[in-house]
Amino acid sequence: MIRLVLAGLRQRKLRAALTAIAILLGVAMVTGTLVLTSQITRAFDEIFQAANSGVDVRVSPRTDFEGGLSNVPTLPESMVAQVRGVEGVRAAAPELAALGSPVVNGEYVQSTGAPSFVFSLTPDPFRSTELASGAYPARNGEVAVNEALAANEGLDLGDRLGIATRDGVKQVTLTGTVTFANVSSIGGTTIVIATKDDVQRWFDLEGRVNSIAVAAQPGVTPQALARRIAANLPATVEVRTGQQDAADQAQQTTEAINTFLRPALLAFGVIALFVGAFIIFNTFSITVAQRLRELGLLRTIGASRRQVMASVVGEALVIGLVAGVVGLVAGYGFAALLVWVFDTLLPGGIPVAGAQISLGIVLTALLVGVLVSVVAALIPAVRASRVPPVAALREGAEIPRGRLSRFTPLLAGLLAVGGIVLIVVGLQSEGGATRRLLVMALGALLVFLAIGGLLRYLVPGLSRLIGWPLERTPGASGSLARQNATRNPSRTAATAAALMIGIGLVSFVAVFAQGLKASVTGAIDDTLRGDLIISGKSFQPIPAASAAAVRATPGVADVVAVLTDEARSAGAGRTTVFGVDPGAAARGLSFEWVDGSEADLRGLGPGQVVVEQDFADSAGVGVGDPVTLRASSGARDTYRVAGVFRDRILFEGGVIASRTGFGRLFTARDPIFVLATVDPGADPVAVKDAVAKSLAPFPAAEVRTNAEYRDEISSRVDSILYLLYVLLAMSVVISLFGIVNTLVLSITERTREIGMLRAIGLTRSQLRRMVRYESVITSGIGGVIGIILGVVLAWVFSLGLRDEGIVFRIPWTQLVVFLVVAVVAGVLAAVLPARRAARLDPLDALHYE
Amino acid sequence: MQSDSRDAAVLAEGLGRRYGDGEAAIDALADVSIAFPRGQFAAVMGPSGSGKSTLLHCLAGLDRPTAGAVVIDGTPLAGLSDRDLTVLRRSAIGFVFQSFNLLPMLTARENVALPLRIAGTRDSDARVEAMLGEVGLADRAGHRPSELSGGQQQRVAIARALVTEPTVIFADEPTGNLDSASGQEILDLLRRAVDERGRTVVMVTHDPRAATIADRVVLLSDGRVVLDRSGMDADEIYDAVRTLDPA
Ligand SMILES: Nc1ncnc2c1ncn2[C@@H]1O[C@H](COP(=O)(O)OP(=O)(O)OP(=O)(O)O)[C@@H](O)[C@H]1O
Ligand SMILES: [Mg+2]
Repeated sequence: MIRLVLAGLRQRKLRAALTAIAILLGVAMVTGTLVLTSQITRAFDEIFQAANSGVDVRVSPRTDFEGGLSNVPTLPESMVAQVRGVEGVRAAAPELAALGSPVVNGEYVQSTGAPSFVFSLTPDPFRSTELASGAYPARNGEVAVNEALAANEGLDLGDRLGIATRDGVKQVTLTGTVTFANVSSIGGTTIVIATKDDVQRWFDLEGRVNSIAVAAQPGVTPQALARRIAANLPATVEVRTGQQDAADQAQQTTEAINTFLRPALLAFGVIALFVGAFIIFNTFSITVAQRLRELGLLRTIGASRRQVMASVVGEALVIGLVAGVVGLVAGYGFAALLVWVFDTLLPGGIPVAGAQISLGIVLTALLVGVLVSVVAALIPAVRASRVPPVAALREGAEIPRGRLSRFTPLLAGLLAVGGIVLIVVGLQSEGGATRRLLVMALGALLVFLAIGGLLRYLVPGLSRLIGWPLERTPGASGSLARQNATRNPSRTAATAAALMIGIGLVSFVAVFAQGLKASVTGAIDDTLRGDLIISGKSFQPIPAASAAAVRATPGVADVVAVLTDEARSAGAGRTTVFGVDPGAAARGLSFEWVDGSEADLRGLGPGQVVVEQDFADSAGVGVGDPVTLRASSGARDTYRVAGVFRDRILFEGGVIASRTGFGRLFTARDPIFVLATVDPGADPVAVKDAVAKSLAPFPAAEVRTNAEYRDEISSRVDSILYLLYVLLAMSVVISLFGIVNTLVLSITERTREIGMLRAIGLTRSQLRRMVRYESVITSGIGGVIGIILGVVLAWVFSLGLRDEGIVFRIPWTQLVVFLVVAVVAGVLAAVLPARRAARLDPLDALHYE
Repeated sequence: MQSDSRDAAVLAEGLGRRYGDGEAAIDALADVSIAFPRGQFAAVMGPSGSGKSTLLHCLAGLDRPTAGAVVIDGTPLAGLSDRDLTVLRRSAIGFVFQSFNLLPMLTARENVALPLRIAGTRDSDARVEAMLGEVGLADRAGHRPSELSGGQQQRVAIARALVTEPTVIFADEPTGNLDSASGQEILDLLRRAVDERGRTVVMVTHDPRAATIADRVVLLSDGRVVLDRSGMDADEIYDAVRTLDPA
């Protein structure tokens, strides 16, 4: 049997290759994801290991959970001396870290996404960087920067550069360059090392430090020392060994990667495999049908049903194995491609370590390839085993249909209903986001399967519809193509279904993103009364002083500076708390009030908050009720609810406190954004230019008109959308191979017909057109159904998310583009099969068996 | 008899077709010069492997001869591109195959209309219906090949060959897959095409009785014409074939 399988594969090399490609790409995506995510986690491991080299024990402020962006917990500097006094301590040094970008030649070194660190210089045993050239800063006003930054910006030792600080841009001299950790790339991250005094002054941290690094005396274990230090310090600090600290930090990023990035990327690999499975199923169905005589012959010469089935499964196994091996190799290419895509679409990038191979990855690739291939070939294999021996003797024998096949429409209908129920359940349920997404994805998968099963009944009608313009073209190519597409509806349906999945998902995200953009930009219009928005260039808070600079600009009438931090509260869990000046906020923000009114916001006292409806609902509180908030420092305070408003996008689930009230719990001083209203009659654009000038000392801050901010948000949504398109494009490419495969098989099957057509006067170009049109009809069906399905799914989602303020908008132009893409895919897929068909000799028509 | 060869529907001069090269080369056709005048029904006979099909293919422009020239309807085939050759086949040549070769997904009517649709001819419905009537299948126009008997399918194929009003019809063993009654119907249809419409028919056949319906019998052996005579009866043809066939 094995020899038979291999001989069969050798004979049908092209088909075997095309079939293998169908899963190979999916396997590559899955392995690529595993390779890439392990590259990233290892990079972070190395970074944190390096950051903790020489640190036996680290003392830092205790935090119960990760605070907001502007949350910078500190310790008093006096604690350093206290630590030094503990027995067994060889050395202790203060550590400071802040966010501040370099300014070179007056230009802000923009690194959207990646952070810009300013570190204080630590003495020798604790140094985490290595000097590449020059020297570490010896006095105030001197800095060292990371080597890549100096190279990119053309900085030489002795050059002057600026550092954007909380206190404006500070001019300093470059004395050295450093490398950080042994990673190939730290993305676009910039590192500036300055003296401790400079960092404290620049970032308003005089007398404070972020953490204390400690080295133990010989013979003292880090664990013992940590225990001893903890015993000597108040409970508000955390004392951990350097090892522990590195592991904890690495664990946080690893967890983020393992719970978000990896499953998200894997999902696209699974989609690609799903599409590939359709193709395998279809290819095997076609070949089994074409090999009826051969299979019948096997039966007549004594092969059992089981052996016939095994021969088909064996073929799938070999193809799956080949796809696994090649997919494994291609997976490394895919990982490199992803790094490039991330770097292009999300500048700033992600730190990446060198790629490694592991047994786990190898086994995954092989297993996935074989499993998908074999499972997809099971139904055709069972069908092959039903071929009666008499098929060998009779022309045009057919496989007896399974007893259950007439229930297919019913089954598909049930699947579709089940899928929709799952989607709705996922949308409505309360569980974790990942679980809900999984349920919804499973629902979508069932819907796709169901439509794939039902599609054969739609093929004749859809072919007529899509073939209509083609049939109007002169010559018979159009109508022959249409009739060829409909003569075997299940074959056309399965081929189109593969493309339908890719186009369907692309349409889904396009529609969903359109709704998201409309919701967010609508919210900006509805909620923000001001004319200008000032925010950080890289998602960082902007210095408080920049808000003052905006306020002082002529033409600016009013300013709202918004502070934020994260808190926990009973019932509502994780909550974003906003700190505002109540009077300014009442003027600058417009809310829909559910209970209470704008007056309650204007008159907000330090012990009061207004809350968003979502928070009120989940915490079960209303006006007049007390709300207890807990900060990451462990501090807690109770406020009274003064009003409940509704704002589904910008302040969703949030709590707004007065600045004083906010200050009771949180240390954040720098606003996450500032809203400005211009004088009545003033031109917002002119005022914007003036504000931009006032912000010169704060290059990290950027001013935009509301319209510009809207566009910015849209383009951010778009860049995520493009990333999704790139990932989904793989599925579309795979389905293209499916079309090629089906066409090649059909053409082989129709060799005689094609010869006859050529003999009675069909020219080569008419023949090519016939193949191309059949391909376009197939891809058109996939495109049309995919787009419809995508739009319907997005509509169902938007219904479920209506409460979250997500609206339903159809991006018509994009949908038209997708249809064009489907048609172009059809044209491309036809190139090779059409050429093969045109090469056929018309004499074949006259060669009888 | 072949005095006016310039006016012939089909003309071959020194035709040769060699397969392979060197020692193993086979001459399927060797130096065949033959003319088929308009309005003639010719039967081509000969033992298996004697080159009958090869001759037909070369005459019809489906196969390129390795020597000599073919002229159809006054047009030499030698210089034609694949496209021009196809267009010539479309307009001047009709085909009838042994195994019918109808498109299974098309009805009888659509199969007959196929050459006209390929050519982009408009308003051909009446012609197609008339043609179906002529082969006696007016009432089966809407049936697909799988719903027709072998004889009926071959009649559809003849209607398809005639509908473009070609100069010459090539038929390679058109009765080979049929019982004698159905075969006779096919032969009658071809005969009528010659008599009533002035078509030229070149038919390959193994059956001496079928050959008697032709005006002329051409006998091939090892790629050469060994006999070319008119007005033979079945017994004469049978004898002539038997002397060649070693079996
Ligand atoms: N493609 C080919 N390659 C090599 N030799 C060929 C090819 N086609 C035909 N031949 C040879 O050319 C010779 C003539 O073949 P042809 O098919 O014309 O015979 P035929 O008279 O039609 O026979 P039959 O009565 O069996 O149909 C034979 O010897 C055959 O083997
Ligand atoms: Mg022959």
